[in-house]
Amino acid sequence: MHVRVHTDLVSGIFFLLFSVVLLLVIPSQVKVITDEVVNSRTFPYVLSVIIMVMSTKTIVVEVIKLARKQEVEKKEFDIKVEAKALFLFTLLIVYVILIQVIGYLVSSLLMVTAFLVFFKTKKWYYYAITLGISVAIFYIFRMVLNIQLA
Amino acid sequence: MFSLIGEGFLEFFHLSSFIYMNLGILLGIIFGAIPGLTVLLCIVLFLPFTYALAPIPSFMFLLGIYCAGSYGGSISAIMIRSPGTPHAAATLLDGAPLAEKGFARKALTTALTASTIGGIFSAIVLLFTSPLIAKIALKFGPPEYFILCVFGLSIVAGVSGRSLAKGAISTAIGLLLAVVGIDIMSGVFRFTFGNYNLYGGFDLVIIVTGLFAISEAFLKAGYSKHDMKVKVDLAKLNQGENLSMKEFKPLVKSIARSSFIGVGIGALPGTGATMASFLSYDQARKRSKHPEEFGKGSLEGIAAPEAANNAVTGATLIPLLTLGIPGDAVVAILVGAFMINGLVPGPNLFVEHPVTMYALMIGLIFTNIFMFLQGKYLTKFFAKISVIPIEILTPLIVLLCLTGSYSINHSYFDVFVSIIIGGISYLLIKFDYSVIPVLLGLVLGPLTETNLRRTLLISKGGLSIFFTRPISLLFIVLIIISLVVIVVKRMRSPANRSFYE
Repeated sequence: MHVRVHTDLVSGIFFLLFSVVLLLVIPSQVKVITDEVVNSRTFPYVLSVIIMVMSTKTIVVEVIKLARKQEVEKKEFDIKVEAKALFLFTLLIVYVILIQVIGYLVSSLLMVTAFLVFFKTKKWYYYAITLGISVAIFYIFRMVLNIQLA
Repeated sequence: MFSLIGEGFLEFFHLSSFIYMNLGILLGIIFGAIPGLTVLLCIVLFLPFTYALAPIPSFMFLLGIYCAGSYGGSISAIMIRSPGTPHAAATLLDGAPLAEKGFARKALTTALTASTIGGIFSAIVLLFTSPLIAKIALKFGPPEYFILCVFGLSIVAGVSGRSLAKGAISTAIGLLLAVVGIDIMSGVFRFTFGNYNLYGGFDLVIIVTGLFAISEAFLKAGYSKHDMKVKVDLAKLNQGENLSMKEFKPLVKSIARSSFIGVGIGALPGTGATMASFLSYDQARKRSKHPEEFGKGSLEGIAAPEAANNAVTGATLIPLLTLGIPGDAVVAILVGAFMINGLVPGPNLFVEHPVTMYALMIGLIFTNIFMFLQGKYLTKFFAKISVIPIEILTPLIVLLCLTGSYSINHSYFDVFVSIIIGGISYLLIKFDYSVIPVLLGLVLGPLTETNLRRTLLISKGGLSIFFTRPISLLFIVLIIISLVVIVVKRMRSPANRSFYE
């Protein structure tokens, strides 16, 4: 299933909202300890305004194009591919949680195996190579670089 | 100056420098040669390994990756018609047809020779111009520095991504990421949301891992095995004659011109090797005695882009070493390596660590020489490795990246940050926002903000200070000219809107 998305308009609206949220959040997230005009809030405010102006510009350009019935750029998203990307994202989050429960080595071996299964790999030696290198990575970090992996 | 060159040479001339340099070159060529892997990714992956090294071997390792990666892309472009790096796409135009005619060896030797000459030329320019530029840069005050940062950021925003507005938004996101954590000027926390893990801000490597490596894994979600059914015909390498002196002589002019173009473009912050390659290719075709051969296997068509993209490597270090402003995304990551070794990129490097700087620049010349040797004797190996299956590479890269992220602060929070930034980067790419400005914004954020605030404190909030100082005014004029040129160029050729694509 494919969905056509008006990328410029959608992202423009998103970043406009983001800049508004940013402007609202700055007073609570950035304290000011001096009464000078230029302070720790100045730069974040400047950046929020840049995002706001640029996203507004993007929206206005797209709306004008739509009003004039000019050709607007739409991008096709394959829902299946996006769902797969979301699955990989979730897989990595679960992997990091798992490290803290069952340890680095086992969870890493599970993660790389999951990737190979995800790519529908059938060759056994691909599994052997990948798992072997994963074990090597563990020992390099632990023994050579002295990184204490759980 | 010459005594410093001598001291730098002695500082550099150690076995460890050569070992790590060659290791870096090997990795650089491999990563450059494999389509889908980038030099940037290679540096991100191996940066944590350099933390335990002394400054010179560490820089030699990273510069080895950087220079050799520029050349590596041409191997797969010639052998499997798939450019390992974006800038090798220009090499493909003539390299692949020549290989198909049975002259793969000749094509590869031409690419290697041109790359080496371009790289050495660039390193020599770096060696002799950087100290002079640094001397001038020492006179810069906060207003000049701020405008210079804006200059670099605006060019990046302009040339990457699909529109200037999108580029500016990406840049602002990078600058915002740099704001998180403690404000060094006032000591207050910003955007930490009460989470102590954010008090120190984001580490460059953690963000870069997410931006470029993890997002790449997500982008492989739609990968199908049929996409990569390529085989390297190594027999091709044994056939056909090699590049002869008679054939090489007419290329000299083209290589020299392309080297100048590469250095010129590389020295401009925010540009890059892709732009240099295509511009050089175009110039070579226009000035060639045999333009009809271009696209059909012209040696000039291979030599020009290869000389240019390697000439970019040393030149991009010029703004980094002299002004503290990285010339491209790869060099931006090198900032992390400098900081770890207690070296703050900028003009003071030549005052505080002159010998280290000269050692590094001399090392760059040697890097190109060893790149030539490795390229000459290991081509078959590199050609074979360029077809390693994606399904093996992707999980291993993810594993290395996430372990690298953890190793910085021994914190799983950082690993989560890398994954989340990877997700955000994926969405940005999907919505046609370039992530290169995010990186440059992140790197230049502290320098930009500090100098803006210092300037405004000096001028008591007035903006006229930027227009009353000659150097600052000059850069403002340059910003306006560059942006006008970029916008006009985009309007004229909408199909060619991003130099990075």
